[in-house]
Amino acid sequence: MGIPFPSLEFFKALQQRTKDEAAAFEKLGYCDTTFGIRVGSELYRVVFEIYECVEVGEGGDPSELDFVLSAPLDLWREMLEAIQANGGADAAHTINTLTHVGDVMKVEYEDPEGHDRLYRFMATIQAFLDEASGLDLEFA
Amino acid sequence: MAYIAPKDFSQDPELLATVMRVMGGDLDLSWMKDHPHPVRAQASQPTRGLTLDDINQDPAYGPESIPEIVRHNFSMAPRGAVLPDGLPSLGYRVNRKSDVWADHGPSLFEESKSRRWAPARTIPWKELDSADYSREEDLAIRQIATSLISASLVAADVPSRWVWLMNQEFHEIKYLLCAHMFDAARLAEAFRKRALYGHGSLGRDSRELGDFLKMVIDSETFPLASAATNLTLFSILQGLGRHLEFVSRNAADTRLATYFVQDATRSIAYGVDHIRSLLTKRPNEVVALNEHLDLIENGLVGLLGSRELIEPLIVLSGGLDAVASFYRRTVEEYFERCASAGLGDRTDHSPLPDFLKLIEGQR
Amino acid sequence: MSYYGSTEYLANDDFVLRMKDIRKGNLDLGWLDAGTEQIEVNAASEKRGLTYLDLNKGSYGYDELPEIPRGPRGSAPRGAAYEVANQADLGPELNLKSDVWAYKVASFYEEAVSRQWDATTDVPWQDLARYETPEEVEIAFAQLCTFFTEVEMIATDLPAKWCWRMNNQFHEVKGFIASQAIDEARHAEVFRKRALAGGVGLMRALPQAEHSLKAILDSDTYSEASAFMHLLAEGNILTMFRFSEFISPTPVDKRMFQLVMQDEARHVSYGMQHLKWILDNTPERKEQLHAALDEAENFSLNQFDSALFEAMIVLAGKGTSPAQIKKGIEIVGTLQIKQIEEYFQRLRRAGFEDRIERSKFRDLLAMISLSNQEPTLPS
Ligand SMILES: [Fe+2]
Ligand SMILES: [Fe+2]
Repeated sequence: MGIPFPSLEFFKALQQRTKDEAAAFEKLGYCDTTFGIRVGSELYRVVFEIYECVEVGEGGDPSELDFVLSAPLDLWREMLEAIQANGGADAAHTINTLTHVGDVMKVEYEDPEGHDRLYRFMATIQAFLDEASGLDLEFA
Repeated sequence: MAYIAPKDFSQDPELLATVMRVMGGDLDLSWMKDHPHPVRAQASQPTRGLTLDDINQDPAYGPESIPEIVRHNFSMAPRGAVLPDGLPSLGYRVNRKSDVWADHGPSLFEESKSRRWAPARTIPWKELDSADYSREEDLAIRQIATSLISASLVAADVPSRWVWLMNQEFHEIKYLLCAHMFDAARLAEAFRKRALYGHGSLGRDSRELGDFLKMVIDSETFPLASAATNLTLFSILQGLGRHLEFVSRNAADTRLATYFVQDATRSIAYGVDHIRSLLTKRPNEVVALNEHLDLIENGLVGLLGSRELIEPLIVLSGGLDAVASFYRRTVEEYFERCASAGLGDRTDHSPLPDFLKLIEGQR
Repeated sequence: MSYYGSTEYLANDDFVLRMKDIRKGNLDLGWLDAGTEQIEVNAASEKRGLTYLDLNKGSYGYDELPEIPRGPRGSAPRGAAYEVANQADLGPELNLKSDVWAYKVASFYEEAVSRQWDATTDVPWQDLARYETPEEVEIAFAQLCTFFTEVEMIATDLPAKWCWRMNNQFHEVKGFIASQAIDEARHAEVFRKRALAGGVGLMRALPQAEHSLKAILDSDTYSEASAFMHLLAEGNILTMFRFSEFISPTPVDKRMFQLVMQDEARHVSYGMQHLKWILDNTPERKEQLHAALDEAENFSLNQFDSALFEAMIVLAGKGTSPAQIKKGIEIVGTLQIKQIEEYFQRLRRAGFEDRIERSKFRDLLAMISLSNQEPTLPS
């Protein structure tokens, strides 16, 4: 049985990877942000403190999040499959590429400063998602 | 010679007497009582280390002890030290806290050290060997990299121009500006390496870019320079970084653009917080800042429309529409930051909206 | 004072027409044919990565950069195509290579980038509590850290004062002194943190030392400032760091001094190589540097501030008993002689040995009168 996506279990598995790969995440530097990942209508909350992901959760108030990465399930699936195929996002499936011109993935935010945290910590957030390459996933 | 000692100390009996006394073992030791604010600062979160915020908890040393107008210290004595008579003035000209202060300054400095990188090794340059760019695309990237070397060098010059004029009471902001200098020098390095790697060459200097950068660095006061650099220039650089990441088809360009965006955004974060706290303290400054940005944004219009920027972007993006859409996004986000900093809605007096309409074919 | 450009773009017909033309898909693409040199660049060592040394080729390299680079005054990077008449003049004041250049500066820059560290996490602050330090030693250490916090920032302010005045042709030097600015900010940071983490806090600022700092900042030219600061003052500080590591009360402090020392050595090396470059390439500047160092040495003599030297004596002797003070004086006396000897060695290596004859420090050595013999001049 693989880990279902989307699920809290999936984000917990990524969270654990930031601890297992502590040295790699430390090398990228501090990362202090609480952001959301919205898959279809489901919202997950990811909290980073210092170097690692310290908390993940389901639901919550988007206005308390720095930003929310929002996309339909199909797109997340495409991105995760690319991550799995390439051992990390290929150039066409990085978070920045997906959220830039065309906005296939949306960045929702209320505070421009919260929004800018996506860019300040982009390498860490990308590395966090890239950790899915080692997971056995099952898509809903 | 600008500063000359009042004595020839090699012939000074007073100095000689001090040396003889101390080195003869007759110590005065009165300085041992000069520690009026004992403190044992500790890391609030050990994994984060001992941060500037941790050592600023004690009010004798923290930034709340800085008055709005600094009148008590023009020397290099660190904030909270005992100030004996006879300290010289180092000639600081930025002595007003709200001219420089941002509460996030100390943590942004910590972040910049923590998120350090080294272009020589962080970027997997070899990945460029198999990059599948056409000749035009290849030269387009090198042309944009050429412009980014110029922009980065001037982005290093702006903090350099001001930091040495700032009172030492604001040391956290001085540290941060040194980090900005270094970050920008590192970007100049990274883009020079990008432009020249492989069968490399630099492109052509842009008159419009040079003019825009000169406007930015010649800003008359530090707050005006901070707004023009950290808000305007770095918003555009951040947008360019995002776009380069977007059009990248290899790991080297992707990583370079990602680090570029991170570094640029730290400058933006300082700019927003700095201008916001300045305007909270001195709301009237909003007029001068907005007038300055109106004119700076004219320079930005020139840059965005310069052949050396827009044409390679079109080549890389497969047409003008993608570039226009990225320009619009970047300008809108920039306006959001200005509003968040307290500058209000800039849409009406900025030349940027009309420029966007022009390239979108609506004007 | 502000500059607002030469063109109001949206009111400029040429610009508006250009945009409309581009909108129609008519690109000029002149930049594709910039006429610049094409070179082949690869990393000489994969392990080291791609360095500025690998880019030292043809019109892009620093070896081919002449003493007087005529023409460039704007933001164009070295080797890019530009028009002299069409560049926005940034008004650089340092335009001669010998104004700023140093042998090996590209290597110093690369080293600085790769050896950055973080005072927040690279010093094991949490271990400080594990060590018991006698109160008077901790107080003396806090005085020493106050002094270091005070003086470090001169070495950010001085590079900053000159960096933006340097022509963009010298980007390796600009990069190096930007790296120095952040190095020194980190030094001020680490010493402040140490003073505030040890229980004592900051102590007395030192007016005599500060007059030297003012003289550095106010130096008439970058090269005079560099000779004073990089070579003389930072050379002294480097010797003091080595001394401080030696007498550090805890392993935490040893670690701190090891980290600052490697940066400091890089700054001193740049100063020595800049001086050498000047003397090799523009020997006519020698007398001007002599005069600057005459006064710099004079200011340095006055840095004998009793609070600082007494603190060093207490630290070196590990206390204030007569026996400890006696031992402390011996060590500090040796340090002073070492500082001067090392300064003389650096002058010699930079090709400035006739400075040694003229140096005011010979008088200081006599004043210390700890050593009856002449300082051992390096051969
Ligand atoms: Fe230093
Ligand atoms: Fe130094």
